[in-house]
Amino acid sequence: MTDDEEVANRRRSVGYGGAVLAALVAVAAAAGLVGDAPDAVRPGGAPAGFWLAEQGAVLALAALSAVHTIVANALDRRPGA
Amino acid sequence: MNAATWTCVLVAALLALQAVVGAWARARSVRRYYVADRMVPPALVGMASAAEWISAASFLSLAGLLASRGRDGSAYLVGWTGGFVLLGLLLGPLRRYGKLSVPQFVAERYGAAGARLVALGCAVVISLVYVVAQIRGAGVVFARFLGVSVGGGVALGTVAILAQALLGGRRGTSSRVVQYGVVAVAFLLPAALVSLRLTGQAVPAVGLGAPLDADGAALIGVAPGQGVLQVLDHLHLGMGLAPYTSGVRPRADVVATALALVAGTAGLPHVIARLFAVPRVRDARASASWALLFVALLYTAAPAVAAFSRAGVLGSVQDVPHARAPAWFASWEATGLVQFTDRDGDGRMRISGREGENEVRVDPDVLVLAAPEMAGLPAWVVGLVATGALAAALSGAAGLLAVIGSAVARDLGKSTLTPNLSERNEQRLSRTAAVLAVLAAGRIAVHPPGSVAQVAALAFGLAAASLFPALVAGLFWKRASGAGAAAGMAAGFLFTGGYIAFFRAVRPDLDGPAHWWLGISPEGIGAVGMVVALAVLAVVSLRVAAPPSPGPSAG
Repeated sequence: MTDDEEVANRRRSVGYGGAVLAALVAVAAAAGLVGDAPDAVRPGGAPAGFWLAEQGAVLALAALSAVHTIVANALDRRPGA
Repeated sequence: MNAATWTCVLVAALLALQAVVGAWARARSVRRYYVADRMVPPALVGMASAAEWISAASFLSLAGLLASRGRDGSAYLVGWTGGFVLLGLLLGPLRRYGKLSVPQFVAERYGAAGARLVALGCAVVISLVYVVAQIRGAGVVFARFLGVSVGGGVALGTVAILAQALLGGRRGTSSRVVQYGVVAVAFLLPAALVSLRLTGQAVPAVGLGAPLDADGAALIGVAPGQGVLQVLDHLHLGMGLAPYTSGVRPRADVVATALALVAGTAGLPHVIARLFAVPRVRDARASASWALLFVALLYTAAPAVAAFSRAGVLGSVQDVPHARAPAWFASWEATGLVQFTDRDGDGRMRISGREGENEVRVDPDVLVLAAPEMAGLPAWVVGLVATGALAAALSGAAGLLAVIGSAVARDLGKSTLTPNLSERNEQRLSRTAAVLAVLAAGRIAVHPPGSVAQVAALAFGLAAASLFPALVAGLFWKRASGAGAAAGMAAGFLFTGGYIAFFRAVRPDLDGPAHWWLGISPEGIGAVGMVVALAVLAVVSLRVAAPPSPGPSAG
């Protein structure tokens, strides 16, 4: 692999890692900051805001982790990486 | 058989199992002592990591904390799951260093003795605080089933954890997989039975939203048809409390606590070591994702356990004469973790959010254990929960005690003070350090600075403010220097530790949103400490000459 490719590769992984980090912080902030407004909706019986904070966020983070593993492993697998 | 007998039988079975597996997997070399077997499929390593992760804080205390905080408890769920996502991000860069613990990483990356000693000190204190939480958790279980005060329970918990620290080192992956099975069944089966009893839904997360059936509604003393959350909101309003499903704590605190726990997960030394039981980075990443999945299985059930047990408390206690208190209430009173103070002299128990009117104090740490009793489930279910809680507390303590032992024996003893320490003496030193740590932690656990989950959170906050910044700066910033790392870790640690000590030890009377800085509680202050540490690290690094040879080349 040439230096240019390596730099490009590295930049891509760092940019990608940044995106995952941003998603993580966004979920954490959303779970903490979501107000009572969505609570009027009660899908499955639980107020939506409460459900997002105590269930949805956990599911979202588990999904984020799975997506990260798949994408990061695919990036690693490219020739020379 | 009653619950106490069931607990004894199940605990005896568990101890026998642990002794057998422990003898079988007993470390044969020092290498195996720190990280056992290195070639295992990611899903199993993930399961083993989840077992290591699920301590008394997650098993025994998390649901109780959620019950006492309502929506604001979400910070703990988010923090303790989000941490795995962050760990997954760091695994790739960290793997190149091939180091098992954060203090070892710091030693290799920065090379400076100062940074290494500060990292060691931080790791030891953080692990100690975490062990306090585990001893307290074991103490709560012992107190309830032996009918003694919580102080006596803690003394027994100290002995149990001490015995374990002396019996063996880190257990191998296979033993951990068994452990996960025991703990998951002990948490999920009773949760499912409670949910089934109250709502007719076997999946607790579904039961959380489902309407209570006739049986369940009668148990809580309300009309059927409403969901448990609606019932709770209604009961709370009647008692002068904020609705269960809406948050009341400062938003800054909820977000800061979540971030402190996220960063603390990546900074806590033991989880990283377990994930590196696989040889390749991509297997380590997969292991982290699997671990999160196995943890999430429990964490999605915890809010349901929380809501059901909260409803159980309010339904079976409110306005009931103390002379006719339910059985669970009476048996917990003996431990001192549940208390009734008859303020108005009418003999009836009243829970109230209004100043000076509340007569009932229920420690959040009892709720997971009490939930099956409240739902009128058979004694073996109660015994099962107690056994799971003990297993979680013992394993949680074991992981961090190994860190204390390895930090003192390997990193301080062998690498810094006496390089030609023999393997035998290294292990001996490591065990001595672990024993001293247990005794110190046991002393603190009699009057802990919060519930089990809160104490664990303090350890995470300290890690977020010290080890984590040194780790991240070391991985991603070439100019980060040893002096910078040492100063940064020390600053973040002292800031966070000082804040915690002020509100939890020096002036506990001021511990409340009105006095917290920026509205952030001692559990969340680690997020601010992290910023302090990074700032100090950056300033000192830029003022001191560049490090000699950063990067993995040295290894």
